[in-house]
Amino acid sequence: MSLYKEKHIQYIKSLDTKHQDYSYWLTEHLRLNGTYWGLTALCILNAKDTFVKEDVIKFVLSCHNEDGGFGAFPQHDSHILSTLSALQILLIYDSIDELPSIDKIVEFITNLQLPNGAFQGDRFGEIDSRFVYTAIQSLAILGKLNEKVVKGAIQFTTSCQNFDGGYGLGPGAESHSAQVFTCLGTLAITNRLDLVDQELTGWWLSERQLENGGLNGRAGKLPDVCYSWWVLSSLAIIGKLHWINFDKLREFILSSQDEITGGISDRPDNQVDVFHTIFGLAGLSLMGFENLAPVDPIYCLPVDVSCKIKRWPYSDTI
Amino acid sequence: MDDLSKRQRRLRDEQKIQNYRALSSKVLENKVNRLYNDFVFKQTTALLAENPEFYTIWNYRRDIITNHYVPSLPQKELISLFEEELKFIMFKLKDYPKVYWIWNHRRWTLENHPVANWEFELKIVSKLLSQDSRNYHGWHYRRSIIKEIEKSIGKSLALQEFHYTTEMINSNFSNFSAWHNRSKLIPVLLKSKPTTEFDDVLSFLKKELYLLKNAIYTDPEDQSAWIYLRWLLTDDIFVTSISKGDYIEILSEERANIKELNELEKDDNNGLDNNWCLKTLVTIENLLIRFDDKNYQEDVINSLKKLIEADPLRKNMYIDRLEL
Repeated sequence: MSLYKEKHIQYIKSLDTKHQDYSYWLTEHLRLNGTYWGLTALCILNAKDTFVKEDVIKFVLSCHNEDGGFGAFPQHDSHILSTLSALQILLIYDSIDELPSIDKIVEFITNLQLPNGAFQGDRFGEIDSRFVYTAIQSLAILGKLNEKVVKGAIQFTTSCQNFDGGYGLGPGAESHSAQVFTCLGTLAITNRLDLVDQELTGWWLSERQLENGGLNGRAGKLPDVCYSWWVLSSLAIIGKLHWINFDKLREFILSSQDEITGGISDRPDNQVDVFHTIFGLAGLSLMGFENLAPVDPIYCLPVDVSCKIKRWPYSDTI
Repeated sequence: MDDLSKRQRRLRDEQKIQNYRALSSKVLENKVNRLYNDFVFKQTTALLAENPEFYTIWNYRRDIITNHYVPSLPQKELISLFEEELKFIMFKLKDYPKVYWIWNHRRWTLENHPVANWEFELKIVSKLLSQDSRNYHGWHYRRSIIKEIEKSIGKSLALQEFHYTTEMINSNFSNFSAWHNRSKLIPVLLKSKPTTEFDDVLSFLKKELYLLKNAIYTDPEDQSAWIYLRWLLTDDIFVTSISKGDYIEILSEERANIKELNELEKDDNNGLDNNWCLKTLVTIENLLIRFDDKNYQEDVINSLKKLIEADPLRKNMYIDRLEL
């Protein structure tokens, strides 16, 4: 089986033209995130120019709110998730300087941090280790990490660690592959992977692979293509990518493609979407298959984009 | 689908899109104008009924409650507004049990409820977990409700929750969410010792291992119990609170049990080892090498070599361990 590269490019290109579909309008609240998923997928497919840069940047800036954050669509409220997507897109296009005020964004993000180091997603108080990662990567892209933010983020992230080597969405929560990715990502960006029991975490992650080659998110659950990213990137971050079987996972991802419409779904024969398309492609890229552009497991950005991010600790603050 | 029904569907969709977009832009415009009243509140209900993932509208709804209803309604009416809100959310959760935004709104609603009934909420989440016993949000929500109740009654509910996990595990040994929660409650209970069951770490550990033996014998392929067993045999909570002699005895007993189970499995599977038995034997034998100078190096190497063949998905992990 092979990767239908051209089909996937056409599929991603077509996403913004589906105005006749009701679901197009029901998913406005994910549009900015979706644009990041689509653009990153195109970069991985070496087809970055499929999107018109000026149009995308214009759209991103139209989602910028007065409070400094970004909503997922014009007039939608700011949230840390859509804020990171905006920054990732601008970084891919080398256009961070298009932002009217970096300080305002930094203020929006740092104001979301709570006394225990966690981040809430917006002013309404939902707490999740995903938001810590999202905030930390956002600040890293802007080159605006600082001691206080980093210290709190590390403290909260380590409190999400479980006996099995995995991490949950908060202290006490069950291990979940997606949360493992965000927690390891936070610790990698803040340069504290020494706090991870890498043998144990690697073992738990490797046990996510099932006989059909797919990866699951928790013990006893079904496989899903998106875990090709959450599990693989986590293994890559701790240098244990080879602890699962590449050929079988590749087969699972490829068999979840739609050969007619393009795109990848959560598992074979299901409806495709851009979320599973990017994470399937990113997984294949991490394993070095199909001549895809290399992707950075910490940032989920093409390596030639993530290399522009200033590494913590900043030499000028020491 | 034939052409006629395709056309009909398209027409229907067009109408739906038109209505949705009209309502959505009206609500967003009211939001920009900071309108907070009964009329716009009902509009958000209609919009969220259509699209419960529209987080901005949940935000607006909360702002309407805070800025309009809370300052204007008498206590009794305010309470019934919050009760209605909880019903509306429950209705949505039934169709969308995995949508973060809805769970988040439920948490907010309870936290801002003038007289939140957390006990009732616990019943609701118990019912949800009885229907969907691995729901990640459900378990997380349950822990936060327990925290709230503990705060209000000034008493720990760890024992009650421990019994709840036993119940869940007994009805399904593969419920890892329950094993996980148990691992969070045991340290609390071994410290607070609410009943004699928790007085002595060693006898507690033995009882727990017995429960686990049942689970493992019931389905030796299921990883939940094996992952939990690894915890019981390695965590400092147990290891440092029992004597070295007792620890070594426990490890040796478990080793014998698992070897016996593996033999039974081999009889059933044409002489093939059970992978989880091999993996766990490696863990236990490594512990016995470390704590009792046992000469199990050969056994560990043999098990790892077997696993390279028998568990090819994770072959490279075993190779790395052989080279350590």
